[in-house]
Amino acid sequence: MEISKGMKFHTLIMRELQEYRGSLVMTPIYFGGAVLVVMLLAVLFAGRLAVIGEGAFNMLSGGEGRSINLELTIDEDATGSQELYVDRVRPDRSGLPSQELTVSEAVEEVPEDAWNFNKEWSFSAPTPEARGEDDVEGESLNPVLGGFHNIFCLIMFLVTINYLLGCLYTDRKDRSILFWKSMPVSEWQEVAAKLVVASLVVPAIYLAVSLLTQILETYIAMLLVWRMDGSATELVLSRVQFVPLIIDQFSGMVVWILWTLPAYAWFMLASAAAKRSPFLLAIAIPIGLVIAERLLLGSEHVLMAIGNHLPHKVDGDDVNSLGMYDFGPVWSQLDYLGMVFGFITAAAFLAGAVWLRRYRFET
Amino acid sequence: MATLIKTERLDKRFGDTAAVDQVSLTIESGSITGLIGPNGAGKTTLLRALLGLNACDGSLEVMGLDPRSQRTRLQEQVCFIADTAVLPSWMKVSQVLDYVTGVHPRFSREQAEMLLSRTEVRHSHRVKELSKGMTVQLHLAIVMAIDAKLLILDEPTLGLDILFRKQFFEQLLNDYYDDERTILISTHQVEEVENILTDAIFMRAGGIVLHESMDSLAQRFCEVHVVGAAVEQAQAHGPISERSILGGKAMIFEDADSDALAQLGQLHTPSVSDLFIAKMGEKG
Repeated sequence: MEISKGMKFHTLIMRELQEYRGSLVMTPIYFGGAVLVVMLLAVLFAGRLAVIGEGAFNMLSGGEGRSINLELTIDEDATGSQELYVDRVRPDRSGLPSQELTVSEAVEEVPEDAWNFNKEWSFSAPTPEARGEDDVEGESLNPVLGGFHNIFCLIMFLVTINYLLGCLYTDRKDRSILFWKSMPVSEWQEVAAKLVVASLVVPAIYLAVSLLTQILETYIAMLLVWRMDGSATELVLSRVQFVPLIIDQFSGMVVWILWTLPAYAWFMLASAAAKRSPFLLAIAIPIGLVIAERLLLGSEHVLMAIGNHLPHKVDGDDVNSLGMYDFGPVWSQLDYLGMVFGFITAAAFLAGAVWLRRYRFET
Repeated sequence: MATLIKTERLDKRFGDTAAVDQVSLTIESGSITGLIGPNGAGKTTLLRALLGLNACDGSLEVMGLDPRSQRTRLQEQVCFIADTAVLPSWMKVSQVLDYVTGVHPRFSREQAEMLLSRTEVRHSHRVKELSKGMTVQLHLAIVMAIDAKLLILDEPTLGLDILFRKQFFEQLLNDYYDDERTILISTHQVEEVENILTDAIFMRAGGIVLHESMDSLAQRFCEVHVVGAAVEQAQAHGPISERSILGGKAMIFEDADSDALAQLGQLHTPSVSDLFIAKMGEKG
């Protein structure tokens, strides 16, 4: 039977997804599902547990994403209370996303005997006066949804690193590599399939699940507002711009893929090279290089280069680097030269991984 | 018969130790060759070199290809079971079958399913849930369902109980082997394979001590059971080994005058295991 290249590659991809099904496929689904279940419970109990419903309602009507005020009152006599304000400052559309987290603590002393665990929880949004802000009707909810998307991205990054560090290592450890090598699949096909999984298939899965979750979140939020007798269209639907949301998150993912390529290739190289611990190898060498450069030259080029190719929250003027773009990248301001250098580095790392896989596979 | 494997001065060193030491070897198609040697003789290293899994020096040709540069193409023609229990433990049996179907052009899934249906192995099983014997059954079913010209088995029955071992070789012989196919099998348990071999290779310390067809083994070597005074006479013919048997000695001779020996005692064809022990005992 003839086997086309496409069918073979598909088989290799499926193999990876089967082995890492839990982290690559199921994790985002479970996470998205959990978020939605919590929201649904809020809707179901909105009528009965007024605090939750009102809290959520207030958050939405007062401008979700602006400010969440968690008030934890300890002791029925309210001898002490702690207040935590989480403020999200909305970035102006033209500029860059930024976030501020303010934690303010109540000044009153909490008596030790106050910890009787008869806690009274309440959620309430601070009044606009308390925040010193004006009414926020009509403000976009996209940043809130983008916040959920960032969590998806963070989880994706962690599982991808775990995947990459294991993908050329565990089968050497348990000797099943001898089975893979008894099949007519070349080393570069194997390495390419694993990279495609990490850089294309996994981002596609996470992006799809994330977008689906965000859309469902919007509907559930509408349901919640509707149950609280608010106007779902006005308070929720009109404040979510789906097309920009999808474009921003899709293009953010594209930049993510392009910028992380050398980092991902490096993890694969470490996975192919490691005798004991791919993780230690993957972090020890960069840390060693950074320290050596610092001591010998006093500069930080390596650190900058590494930092540029790892995901981080983009803020300030640092548009060139990879980030979790709530608002999509600013294409004209990307450092394309740095990106090309990254590709060349990635190619070298991958060639190294293929070579190791071919000739130095015994642990 | 065509030459399937040809090596000349094949050499593989780990540091100062020669795992494979200047081996020149020719294996014809249609043979079942046993690669027999003690642990550490270099059997696995030699087989890996033939499969292109090891870098090595010297000239090497398997089915007209150089395994070092054409491993992937070669792997379409060659099957190997490297060791027991190297199937990926996380996989389900159905996933293993899917995978091989998807990458191997000569794999017949129907054949593999048919072979598996005779065993206790089920599609829903994960490899890690299978016993060692069942894992080997699965691996063998896959390998036997691949229409390959050359099958290389490296200690395939290591750690299996005697029932599975017997079944393994029977199945190999009855359901797989034909004149078109060639099997190269390494083992240090000689008695297990000696009845199915057409050729034997003895290996020691990286070198080949002996490579003969079973027919020529029977011609070149003879074992004489001698008693009493005949022992000394027989020793004069220079046996390559002698061991005590009831009431006398069993001696193995190489290229000896069998007519003369026949007068000293009963002539036998030595078993491969006795021959192996005799050759291993010789000074290198």
